[in-house]
Amino acid sequence: MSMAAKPGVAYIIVSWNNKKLLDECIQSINSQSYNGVQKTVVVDNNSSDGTVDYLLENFPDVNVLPQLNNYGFAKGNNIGISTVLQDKRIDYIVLLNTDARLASNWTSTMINFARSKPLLATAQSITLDYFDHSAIDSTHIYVSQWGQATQGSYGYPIGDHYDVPPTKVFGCNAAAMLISKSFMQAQPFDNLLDETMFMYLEDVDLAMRATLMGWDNYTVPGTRAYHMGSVSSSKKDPSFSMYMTFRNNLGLLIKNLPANLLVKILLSTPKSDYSYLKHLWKLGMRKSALAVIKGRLVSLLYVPINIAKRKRLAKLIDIEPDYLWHLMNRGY
Amino acid sequence: MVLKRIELTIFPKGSRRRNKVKKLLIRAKLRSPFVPDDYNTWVQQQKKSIAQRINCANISSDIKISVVIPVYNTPMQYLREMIYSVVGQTYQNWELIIVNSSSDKLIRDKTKNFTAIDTRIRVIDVENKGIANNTNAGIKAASGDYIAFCDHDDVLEPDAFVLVVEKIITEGADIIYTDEDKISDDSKIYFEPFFKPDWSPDLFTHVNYLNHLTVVSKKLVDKTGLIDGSLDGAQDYDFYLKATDAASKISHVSKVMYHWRASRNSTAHDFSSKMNVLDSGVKALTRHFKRKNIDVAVTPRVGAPGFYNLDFKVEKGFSLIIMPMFTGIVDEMIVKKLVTKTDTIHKSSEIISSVAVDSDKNIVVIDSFDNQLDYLRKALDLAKNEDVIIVNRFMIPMEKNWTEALQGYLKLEHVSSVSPMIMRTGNVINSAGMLVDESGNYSHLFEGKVIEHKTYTLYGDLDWNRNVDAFGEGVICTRKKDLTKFIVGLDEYQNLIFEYTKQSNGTNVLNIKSRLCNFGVRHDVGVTSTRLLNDNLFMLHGSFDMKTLETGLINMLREMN
Repeated sequence: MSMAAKPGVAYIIVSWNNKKLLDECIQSINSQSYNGVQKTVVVDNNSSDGTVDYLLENFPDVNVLPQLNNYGFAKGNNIGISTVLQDKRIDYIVLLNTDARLASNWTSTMINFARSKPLLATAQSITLDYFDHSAIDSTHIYVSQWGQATQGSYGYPIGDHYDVPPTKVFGCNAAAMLISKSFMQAQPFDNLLDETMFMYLEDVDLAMRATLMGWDNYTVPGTRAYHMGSVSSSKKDPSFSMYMTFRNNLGLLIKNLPANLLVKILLSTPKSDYSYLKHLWKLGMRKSALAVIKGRLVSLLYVPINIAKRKRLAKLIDIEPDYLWHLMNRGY
Repeated sequence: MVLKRIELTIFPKGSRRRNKVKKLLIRAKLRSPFVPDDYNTWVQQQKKSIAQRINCANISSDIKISVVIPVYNTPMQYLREMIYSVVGQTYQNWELIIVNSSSDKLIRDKTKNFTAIDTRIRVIDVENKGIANNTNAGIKAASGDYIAFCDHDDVLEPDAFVLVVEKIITEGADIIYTDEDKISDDSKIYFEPFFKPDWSPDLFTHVNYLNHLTVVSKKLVDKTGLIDGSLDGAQDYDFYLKATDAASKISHVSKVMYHWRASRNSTAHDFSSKMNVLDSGVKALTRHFKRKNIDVAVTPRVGAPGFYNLDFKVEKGFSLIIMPMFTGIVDEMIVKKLVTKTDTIHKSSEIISSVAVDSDKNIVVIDSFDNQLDYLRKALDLAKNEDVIIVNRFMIPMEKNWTEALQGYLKLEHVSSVSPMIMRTGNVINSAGMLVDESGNYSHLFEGKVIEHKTYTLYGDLDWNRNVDAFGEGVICTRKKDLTKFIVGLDEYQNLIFEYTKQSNGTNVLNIKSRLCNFGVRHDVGVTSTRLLNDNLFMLHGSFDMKTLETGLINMLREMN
């Protein structure tokens, strides 16, 4: 694949009432050492705290796309992506959360890595916890053998001289993630992220789709990103995030998994759900437990849509089910 | 919870019924046949997070490693794992050459697509002409400074190339080999590690212990020539035999960097059933010794595929010196026993002792001597042969041709002394030579271990011909000219002291075919010049254990105090 000497990079941020966080976020983009073409786009999901005015005033170089409604994380990113891809110089897209920041060598390290990888779909660096740089926020994401999506290495301690080898992983966390244009053009759906998911698990869905199509997701050494974690949605009440996670989970599995793996996981779901609910009930998180149940029930409504999408994706599956099961079992 | 209790009532732990069900489940492929053990726990703990410390991050990347992988009808999952383990190396200056020699068309087509994974991957399409010729096609296409030979269904550790390149830079190595272990089919369990010694030429002529991962310099490959296609089955053994002869430095990375797919070792794939493997190995070794003009008969070891016995044709006689150990009558019994149990085939073979015994063998008696040192000096003056065997403890040979086995290795120039295996009653090992660890503590190898059906240890099997750091003082077999350097003097108990000095550049060989049974407790002293014991192991009374976090902490506390 032909690429310019310095590929173009576009940064996409989706914001919703996060005005205070945007300052540092955009500044970390502006201080990147990479000197290829770069553009920044902020898609604002109808914030009511004056985000748009603040951006227009303080960051005139940033392309602000105000929306009339809160379209969610997935659709917000899709809007930004389709805007940015109109510029033919852009070869890579970076999705960045409002509460995430990049080290100054992030983009140059990632681009340097991605140049030798024609089959790279997504990539991330080690993402550290913003408040405690000795703890990992994520190195990757994966779907376990019970069908649950997990952030890899979450909470693990890490010292200054620690790093990853350039590892092929199941998927990357959308907090700070590089996506290649070639993958976006190869995957079968008009929109990159699944908009019916609204928020939570779209990066897992993307990771699964890329892996099934035979593309690679990598964790790249040599740089860092910093993420506050779950600040975008309210941290005090986890029941919303639990509801959304379980609401999207079934659709994710139905849309992507090969039949034998799907059956295997669905058969194990009642037992794993039951033990999880019991665990939550004992901890006193009654509201979260109810949110889980509600999520599971609501997810049944989306089954027809996901079966239709499944048929579209099935033509492009290029991986053996055994290998996918191996990736899900090994945890990265 | 309830189900578990029911299960334990019907199938109690350790019951025959439970074992039978386990076997059935393994056969029905509902349960993995590989049992995880302490080693697996140790390894998995280190792999908890994929974020690990990088060693030697600032290595110059001028040295390019070409990885050659011949592919033949590989299950795609295993080949993918191998390729991504090369792509996932922390050292980035490599190229990967996949030799596409499968007969299955589907696999051929899928293999071609692997070039899309990384721009440094190349696929070479060839007709299948046997593994040697397929590998040669890859070597010819290689453009790197060093060539790494990997199998299509194994897995590399991410730090493999970094540590290899470190050895190349610091030691100027031509050939580098690493430790290895086995990995189960589902890649979940690691087991049976082999922590190898540093370069041991005499272990290498017993078995191809270099195996994987071995990296050879391209210049060396150009000098020794490509892999011989007529020796398929032992083609890598033959190649390494030639290469190690021509190499100037052979280095060892003492970490497990290579994982062997265990399915190859299952009984279904037992390659000992294929005669060509045994023949090829014998041929390879025979040619190796012919190149050195040494007359030796190579035979494969029964029941142990890949292991070879060397029967050197000994043309010279030996001088067996039996030291005076106790008072007259006891010494007489000792000498009588040794004389009857020793074959003297050559006319010039003689036995020198301090007492006279009736025998038709050639016995020289030294009547008067002041002490052991005096006796030994007199004996060496009298000894007519160059090959000298000294028995310094009360031992009884277990085979009649025990001296031949010892003498044989002395034909090789690089060998400076040969040890027999010292046993106790039963099949218990007393000493398989001596090794020294990094603090200078010596220990008898495998002391107290029983040779029975299962001989596996972390350091290799119990019954291999090895290179050891020092011989035990009980039986010493060396050349007369070398022996004089070893004698130091007498200690306060009027016992002989032997010492290795840096002048003894040769290797010390343990030959398992020569076994003696020991009577009595031994406390031997030895000072060594090279350390053969693996860095990951610490020896305690001859047996091995992994250096774990706990032992590291204990050592640290010891040093702090």
